[in-house]
Amino acid sequence: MDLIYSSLASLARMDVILALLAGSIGGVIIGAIPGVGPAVAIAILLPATFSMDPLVGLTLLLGIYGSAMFGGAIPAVLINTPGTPVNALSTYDGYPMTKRGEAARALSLSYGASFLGGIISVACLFLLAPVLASIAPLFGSRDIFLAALLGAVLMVIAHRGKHTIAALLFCFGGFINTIGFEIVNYSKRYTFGQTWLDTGVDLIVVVLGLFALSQAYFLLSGKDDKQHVPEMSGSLFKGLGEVFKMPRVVLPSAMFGVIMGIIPGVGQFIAQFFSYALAQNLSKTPELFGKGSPEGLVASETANNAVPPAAMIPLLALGIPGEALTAMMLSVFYVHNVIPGPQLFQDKFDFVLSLYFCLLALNILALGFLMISTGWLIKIIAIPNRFLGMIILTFSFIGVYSLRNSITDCIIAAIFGVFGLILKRLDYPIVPIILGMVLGDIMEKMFRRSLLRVDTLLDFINRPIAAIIFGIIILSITLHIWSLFKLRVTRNRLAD
Amino acid sequence: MELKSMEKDLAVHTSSTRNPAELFFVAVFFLGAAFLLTQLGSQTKILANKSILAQPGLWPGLWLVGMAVGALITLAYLWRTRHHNKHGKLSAELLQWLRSSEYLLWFMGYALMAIYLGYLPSTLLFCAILTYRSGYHNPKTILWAVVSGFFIVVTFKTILQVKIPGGVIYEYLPAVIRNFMITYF
Repeated sequence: MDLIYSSLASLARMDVILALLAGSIGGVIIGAIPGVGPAVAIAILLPATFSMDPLVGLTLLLGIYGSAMFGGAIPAVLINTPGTPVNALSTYDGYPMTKRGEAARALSLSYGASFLGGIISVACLFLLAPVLASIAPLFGSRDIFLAALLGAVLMVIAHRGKHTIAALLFCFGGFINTIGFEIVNYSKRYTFGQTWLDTGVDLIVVVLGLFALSQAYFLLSGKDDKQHVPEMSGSLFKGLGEVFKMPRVVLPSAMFGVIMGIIPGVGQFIAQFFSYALAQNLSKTPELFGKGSPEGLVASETANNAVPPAAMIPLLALGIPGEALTAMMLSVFYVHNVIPGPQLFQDKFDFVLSLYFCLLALNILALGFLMISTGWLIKIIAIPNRFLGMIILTFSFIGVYSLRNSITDCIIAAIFGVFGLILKRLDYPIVPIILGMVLGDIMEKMFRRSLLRVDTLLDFINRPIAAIIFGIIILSITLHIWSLFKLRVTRNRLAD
Repeated sequence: MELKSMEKDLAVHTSSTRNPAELFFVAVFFLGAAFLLTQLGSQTKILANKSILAQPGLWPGLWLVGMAVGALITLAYLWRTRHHNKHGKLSAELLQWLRSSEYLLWFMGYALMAIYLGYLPSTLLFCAILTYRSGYHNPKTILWAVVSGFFIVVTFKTILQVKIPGGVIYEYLPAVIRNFMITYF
């Protein structure tokens, strides 16, 4: 009980309250602007959070991450343009509802669904906390190595139709991470005699380049879309109550979000896909899905907002980020010497609980802000693309230069920006590169540590946890190859 | 119903419109990975009397092999399907990449300006000029850009105290203003 009180007391600090407000409100606004997204905002703000208290910095970043999806529903519903990539599915049913004159109802359904998804996910965090506290310390270096490998495998599998691209970009990220001075054997790797490469390529510089700068270049070199924002009439509160009458949609969708958030490498898209498909199967009106079904909208929004809190579980318990945004947040932990992993639950459980309470508060604040501000938030959708690109470029400079005041960092970020733009134009994913850098680093460190305890490679799986994780890796690959084989058979049948 | 859902699954796995530069990009990627692999011996230390698993070059080597193999498989697939659903010309796409790189120069120009002129003046100038370059010639829009730039400087430098050194030009300011500008702008 004392632990809960002391964790709650952290929320009474002025800096934490400011971070909660800035994170929730800022996240909603960022999500509402198509073309920005939480990844760009988090990449830019990361260096600024290094000088903050770790709870404050993480609350700010988590606020942006979680609240962005609330705001992202606004353009998805009103103008058929998702505010963040994960709101794409909300356009299927949200926009048709707007065309029917039910914009207010659609928005309030989205808000309510996002809110419930977030709250249920945080509740799962609280319930799982004691379980994690007992299980996490059982994970040794071999288990964490295999868990990181599982994350890599699942990430590749999750990129349907682009497996080899995702794999090669993941390997590229892993390779970039190895550049520089390697402390175990005091040797340099792939520096080509260049002293500026001795310290390696900084993850945040790459993140800023790939996410923020590439998006700025993309917007600046494109055209402005003329957006006609429809009128919105009706009360937002009516739809909010309606969500509470859909437990058969909300609960399974939230569970999918939690499960997919916990599994490294999977994320929101898979969670939405499953919850949407299940909601359609269970619905009395499945034919309405894709044409303005309230259940479809609720299913996708619940699932995608249940993922961010759950994604904190592998990060906090094992030190393994589940996806790019939590991978970025890992650096905040390390800068403050708060090392996520098995020891965190034993040594700093109060910090973990404080974070959970902040996540709860963020959802409440985001919903409250949206209920009173949707009217003027709608105007933000109309910001011209190229103007937005200019703003992002300006923000990006502060993000890159504040790290080490290094013009070399700016050059590297700028080049990665062009690389990220090329990937965008080729419709190739960027996230595998970031995960490659982070998971690759974890895999190498844990592998080295494990070598002290193993005689052969088979010793990697002679522990129960390691054996289970290895089994899941093999099962995942086998099931996926089987599904690809079935698809090939189907394609041949259709061709005939 | 079954057929429709199968067709939908199929659509995920088959290419829709294909960018003409994909083959070029993956080929360059493969060549890069192959070149870096040839440098493995010279760019990493080889430890005598240690197994391959303990060598510093193990992980860079593994990643490079992964890149090369992944690129090769992708190349083979792209070559086999090179006539499918291609949209546009390679030269046009490469030109678009080059055009977009203009903003890399803008960004670097801004970074260099900030070192010499200071964060606030360079940000205001950059926002105004880039807005004009982007095709917004309306004075109101340019003013909005300058105001946005000012807001960004105040938020990060003044309030959050993010570490950006003062510009070289600040050294020429009178002492009273100089310290103020270096600290807050």
